[in-house]
Amino acid sequence: MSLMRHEDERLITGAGKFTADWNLENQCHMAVLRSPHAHARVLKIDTAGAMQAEGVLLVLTAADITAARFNSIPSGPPIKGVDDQVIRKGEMPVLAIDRVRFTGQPVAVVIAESAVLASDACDLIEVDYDPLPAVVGAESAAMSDKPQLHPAVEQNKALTFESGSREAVDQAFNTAAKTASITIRSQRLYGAPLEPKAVLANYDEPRGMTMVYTPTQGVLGMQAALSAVTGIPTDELEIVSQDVGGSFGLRGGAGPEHALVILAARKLDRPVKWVAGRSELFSGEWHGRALKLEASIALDVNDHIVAMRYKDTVDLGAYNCYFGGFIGTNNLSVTMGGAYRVPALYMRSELMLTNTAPISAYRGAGRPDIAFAVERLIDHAAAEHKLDPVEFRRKNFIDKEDFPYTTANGTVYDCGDFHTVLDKALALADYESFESRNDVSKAAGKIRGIGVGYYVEKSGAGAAPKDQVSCRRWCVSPACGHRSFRSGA
Amino acid sequence: MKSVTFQVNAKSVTVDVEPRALLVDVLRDQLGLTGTHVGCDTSQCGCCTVKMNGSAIKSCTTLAVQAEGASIDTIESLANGDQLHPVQKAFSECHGLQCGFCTPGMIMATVELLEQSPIPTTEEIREGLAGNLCRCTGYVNIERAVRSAATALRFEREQAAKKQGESV
Repeated sequence: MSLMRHEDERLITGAGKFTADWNLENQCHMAVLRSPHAHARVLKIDTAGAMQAEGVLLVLTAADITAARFNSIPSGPPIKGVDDQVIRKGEMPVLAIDRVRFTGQPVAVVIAESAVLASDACDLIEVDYDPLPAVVGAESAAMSDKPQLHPAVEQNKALTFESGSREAVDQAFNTAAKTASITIRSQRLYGAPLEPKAVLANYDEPRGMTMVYTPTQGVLGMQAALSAVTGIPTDELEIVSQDVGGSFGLRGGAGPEHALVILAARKLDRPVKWVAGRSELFSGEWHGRALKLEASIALDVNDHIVAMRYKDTVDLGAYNCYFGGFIGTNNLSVTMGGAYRVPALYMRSELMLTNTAPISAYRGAGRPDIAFAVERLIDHAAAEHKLDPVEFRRKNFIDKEDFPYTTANGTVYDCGDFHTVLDKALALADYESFESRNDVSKAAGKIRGIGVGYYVEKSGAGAAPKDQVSCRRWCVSPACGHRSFRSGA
Repeated sequence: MKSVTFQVNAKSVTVDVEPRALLVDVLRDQLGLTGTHVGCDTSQCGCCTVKMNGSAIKSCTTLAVQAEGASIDTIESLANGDQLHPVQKAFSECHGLQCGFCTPGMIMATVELLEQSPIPTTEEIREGLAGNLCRCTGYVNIERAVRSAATALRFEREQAAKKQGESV
């Protein structure tokens, strides 16, 4: 018998506690009204009909957020680009103030005695929109006929980032014996953890604590982000996420709904619960990827790599969110040379704002994307110049003796034995016998293929807060700041 | 409001529901059976799978009023006290779950699958669970769990038959 996980028993018997499974006495329910437009002016919001509807307790619009002195959703650190330019930001308000910038952006919320009544009352809110032309597609976002999304972001260009040496790479390409180029599109997607996003908040008066039940992959990151939005000190915010139905990067930080539930619970002095429907999350939760990488490689006469160059177009969506800026900068550039000795490296990324859902982390957040681009580039160059894809890789691997190895753009790889790993992988795949197996398949009218890929990845986000167990005066339970991972996060 | 009477996990219940109320919401919110989950609202993910009159159904697209007179079994009914059902045991032993959100639906769908196909082929397993999504495991261990449960259930049946033979 294999070793059983101690959490399995509750999960296989239906006794797990995901956020929607928590119910607090006297709780009421929130529903979110979202923008049906990609880009529009909000001229007027009439909540009178909703306020009079059955079971309705409260309706919140942007004016209530301003009155509560809540801040906008965290937009990430001040990443620097070319000429020390700091990233220009469009910060996402908790509720749209006078403009909506993506379909699915929260515009108002209703809190009622039941989830159904809250949802019904949302239909009674009248919003007067004046639709505007929308910017869709990062490549054309800077064109002169496109509207500017945010006052502080001219031509919708948030940042031009570069890494490595353009001069060294240009020189290497000018004198190269062979070159090859390929364009990789890493398509926009919605990560869709199976547990719908949910928040339950309650003000625990005797303890002076705001309790927030929500699925997250990082309790301390969530706590810090919610503190930044609401102004509640972190030591008065307790995050509970006992069972989490997947996160995949999306659930690392606060969204507008967390702040709204907290504000509603304060105003009503009752627990408030919000459980999203799947369809509203497809447009209303963070998206992932949305990258275009134009990659080139230069070789000398002996097929040694002399340079790699990348031109990236990075869609940030309508607002900078806490992780979006890392993807097109640090996470794409840090391992842009892959597992190879590359004397000259250069990457230039354009981070653009468009009228689409904001982009945040999803499963590696740029790192799988660059690994894919590197390996496709290697295979493409091998195919174009009739090189054996395995021998070409071997010839250019960073050798075991070269570690610690500093890449041309300054990343230190501490150790590695790429040849041995590749040997093992090829043996496991029975690579040598592929051709004969392929002949058999061909004779049977079937198609057989084989591919080689090798990647290195920088794990961890570096500057992100670390989860840790902390024992405090008022609480020594693991709920304070500890999470153990069970999901495919 | 409409009064509906049905059996849940072998107990008779009568609840007042709105005509539009979904069976899953009544199970979770009115009867406190939160082991049945809602993942998509649209019958895609299968997290809400329960058994109704012996057949696996998706309770997120079944109206509560449709359950009138029916017999409903949820994940909470499967274990017999501390004694786990062979399908539950197999999911844990074969690591057929990670986050566990899809698991109650997967298990309920598997129970029905193995009632209909006691020795399922790989194709039958895949078809039987086609209406249940998992975002963590990649399904390999779920298939293993189903096969392992099939073996365990067969062994149970054989033991029971043997015992019956002995007593006769």
